[in-house]
Amino acid sequence: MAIALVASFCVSLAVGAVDIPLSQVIDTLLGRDVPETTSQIIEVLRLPRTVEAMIVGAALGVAGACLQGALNNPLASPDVIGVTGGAGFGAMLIILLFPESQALLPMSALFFGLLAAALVFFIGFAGRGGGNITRIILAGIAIAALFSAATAAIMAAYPDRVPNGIFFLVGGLTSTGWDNLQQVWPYFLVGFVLAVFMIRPLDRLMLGDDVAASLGSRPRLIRLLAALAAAILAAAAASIAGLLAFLGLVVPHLVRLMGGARNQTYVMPVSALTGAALLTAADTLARTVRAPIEMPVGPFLVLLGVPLFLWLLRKAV
Amino acid sequence: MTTVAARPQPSFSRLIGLVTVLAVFFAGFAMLAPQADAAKRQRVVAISPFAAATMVKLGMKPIAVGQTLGGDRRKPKQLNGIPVLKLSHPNGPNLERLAQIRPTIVFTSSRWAKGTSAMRQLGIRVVNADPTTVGGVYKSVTLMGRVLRRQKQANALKRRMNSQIRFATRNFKSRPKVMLMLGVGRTPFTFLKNSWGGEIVSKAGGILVTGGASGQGGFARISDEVVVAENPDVIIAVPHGSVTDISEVSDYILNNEAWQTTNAFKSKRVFVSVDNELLQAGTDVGPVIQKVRRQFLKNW
Amino acid sequence: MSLGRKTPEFDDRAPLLEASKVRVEIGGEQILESASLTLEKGELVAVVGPNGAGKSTFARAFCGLRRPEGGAIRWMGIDLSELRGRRLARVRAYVPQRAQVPNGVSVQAAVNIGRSTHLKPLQGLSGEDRDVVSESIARARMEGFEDRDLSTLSGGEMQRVQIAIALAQGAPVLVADEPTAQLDLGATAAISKMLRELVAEGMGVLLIVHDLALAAAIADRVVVMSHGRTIATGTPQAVLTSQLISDVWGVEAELVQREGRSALHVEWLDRH
Repeated sequence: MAIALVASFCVSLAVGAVDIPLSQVIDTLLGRDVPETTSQIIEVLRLPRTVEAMIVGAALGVAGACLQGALNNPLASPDVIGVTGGAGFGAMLIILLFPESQALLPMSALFFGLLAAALVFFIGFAGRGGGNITRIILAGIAIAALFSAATAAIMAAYPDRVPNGIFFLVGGLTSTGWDNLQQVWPYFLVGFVLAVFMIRPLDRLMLGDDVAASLGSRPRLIRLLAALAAAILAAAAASIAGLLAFLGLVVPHLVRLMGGARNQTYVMPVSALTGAALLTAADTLARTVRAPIEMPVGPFLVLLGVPLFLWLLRKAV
Repeated sequence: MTTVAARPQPSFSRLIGLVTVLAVFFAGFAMLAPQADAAKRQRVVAISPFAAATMVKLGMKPIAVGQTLGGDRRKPKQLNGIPVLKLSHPNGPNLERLAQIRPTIVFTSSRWAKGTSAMRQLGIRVVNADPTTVGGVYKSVTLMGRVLRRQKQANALKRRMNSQIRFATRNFKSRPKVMLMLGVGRTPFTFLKNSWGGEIVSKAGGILVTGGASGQGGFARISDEVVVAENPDVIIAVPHGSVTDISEVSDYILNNEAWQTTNAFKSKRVFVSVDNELLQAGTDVGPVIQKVRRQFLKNW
Repeated sequence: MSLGRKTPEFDDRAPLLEASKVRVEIGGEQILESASLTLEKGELVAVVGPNGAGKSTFARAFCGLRRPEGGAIRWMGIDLSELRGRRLARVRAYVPQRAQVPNGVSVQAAVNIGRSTHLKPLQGLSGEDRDVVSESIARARMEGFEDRDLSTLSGGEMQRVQIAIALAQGAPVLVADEPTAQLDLGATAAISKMLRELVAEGMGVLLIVHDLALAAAIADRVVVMSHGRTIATGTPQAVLTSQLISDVWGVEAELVQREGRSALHVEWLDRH
């Protein structure tokens, strides 16, 4: 997987709407003298976007692994805890109501993504019987429906601006230089660090709540923190790349099908690599297939991910 | 305490030094470069059709223009042969292609706001020039004149616009009730007063009816019942989208049974505006008003 | 390393576990009214009682899996409320009644997770930890199964893995809730022998069982529970009298014990 990631990284830098010889790409990266236009295309457009694709892909892979572990449910994805619905609403709010404040889009998506997750956690974890998996999932479905309805409502109110929003809703990276990452990197950092610390507790949880408790962990707390890590990562990812929850759902399964092992010590890091490789590859396709027109990355992700997934599934059964 | 108080001074003086150097540099640059010369060296890309057309009227040519969505019929002839950048959501032009032609100034539209920050990082001056109101057209012309150092030509253009509008808004024979419909796919929306088309119709002596709908967006989905109740004298359908959809959408709008009872249908005053002059602002406000009065409102 | 409050030291001379008058309510209903027991080193204590007597609830309460509403629980002299996380995990290991069996996890990996209580958050297993893991697998008689997937194990094997996980914790006390409930005769005997070996090594073992004959054969002491109370404690011979069995279970039966063998002679049907 690491090899696949390095390969997709290189290809992503090497190809684009403008043909740049590979030697010049390498020269740019090594800081050698190249035409200014070339170095600008690589440094301002391709490199940040490739790095974004890798970080977002890794974040969604890890978020999926975290959630599937925390909720002990193979169907869990960032949809389930409301993040996707919330982030979609936050983004559409900016795109449709305040198109002049584009710069606020990542923060708005992030904020509403986390707000939705916070509501889900509050309903799911508070009070007696809190932390019950079914309750968390049902709360997630309700909150997600709420935000989707709100999104649909504002889309109906501003029909002429909807096309810009579609790109976000199906998920797509855009070349915005380092702006996006500059705004949201702390969230990625917090999310990844939290996720890394949840690997061992989630492994314990895999053996059952009682075993985890015997080992001195608190199952409810593990669920909350792991879901929180997933929420932060998924919201940060959505703030940059729109709604790509599919990646969070499928990547951990791909990883399990590929490797056989189910423990998070294996699944989480490999999910990060797989998610990063898959999104980088899909985004490269999205940028180049119909160049100069850029396609949303979501469909390409499905195009790459689903056959791989089905093939592994067939092999596993 | 003394060290704390003393610390800001070196950096402060450095700042003053920097500002001075920059000021001298820019002042020198401005004096050395004659205005016309500077304008020649500017490499301008006009993404919005408004900016492209306005540049022509200011006597300049962009190095590339954005693709016009909805047909090229209003595109000035002088722009023929100039490279066209394909536009797609959400960035607008492909930024790699844009970087390749090395523009110094890009006139864009808020619709492509997502791409703005990356353009700035490429060292390009990005200016919004895609107004949606008549007042906005004047402001944009002023702004473009300043950015392109063509203030004189901009002022002349504004004076010409003034007289054209004055000429176009004289002697209204009638003030019909007008409903402007925007067809997005199969769902028609009505133009509101704050849309470009709404403002043009009002200036053309029409009474824009919206069924009481209002909003920031400029368009609203209204019920067919409201259309019947408002009973407009004139209905103008404005298809939106690519050129190939236009006939299909206008068919749909023209054959809408719910509207058959309106005055407009009975008096056969249902029109389709196929050029984008009711959607896309331009400096040709006067001529557009005239055309709307002659062809649709029949009050010229 | 003090965090403002001094962490109390374990007292080696105190009983491993001392629980008295533990009270638990679930949903407003009193499940446990007053339950008490003590466990010493090198001792196997069996908690017996009819279904619904509160045995499992009691075990979960003193193991810290469920907060009790009243009573006192001390592990090696320290109040349960002062034990959290890794410190609690180092004093007792709890083997649940029904284990979750994830697939795609090997025996080795599962027992490694049991050892994780000795590691700081991002620390890996040391050589010493690996030795403890192999030893735990050996003590649970699961050598040779290290690479097997948990989902391929039999009920008895899975139960032994659970015990290996608990042993890897390195705690002096093992609490097991009905470890043999779903096992056949052979597997039950094997587990029983293994538990006695652990006791012989000096561990304290606490079993929740409903099989009186088994409890009588392997326990040093039994604690009888009925309707949320511990009503008797002592050696099996002294406690499990026909009178008590009749009072608690409502069944006429006699416990017969001879040289490590035990049998419950039950009057299954009324004599008429």
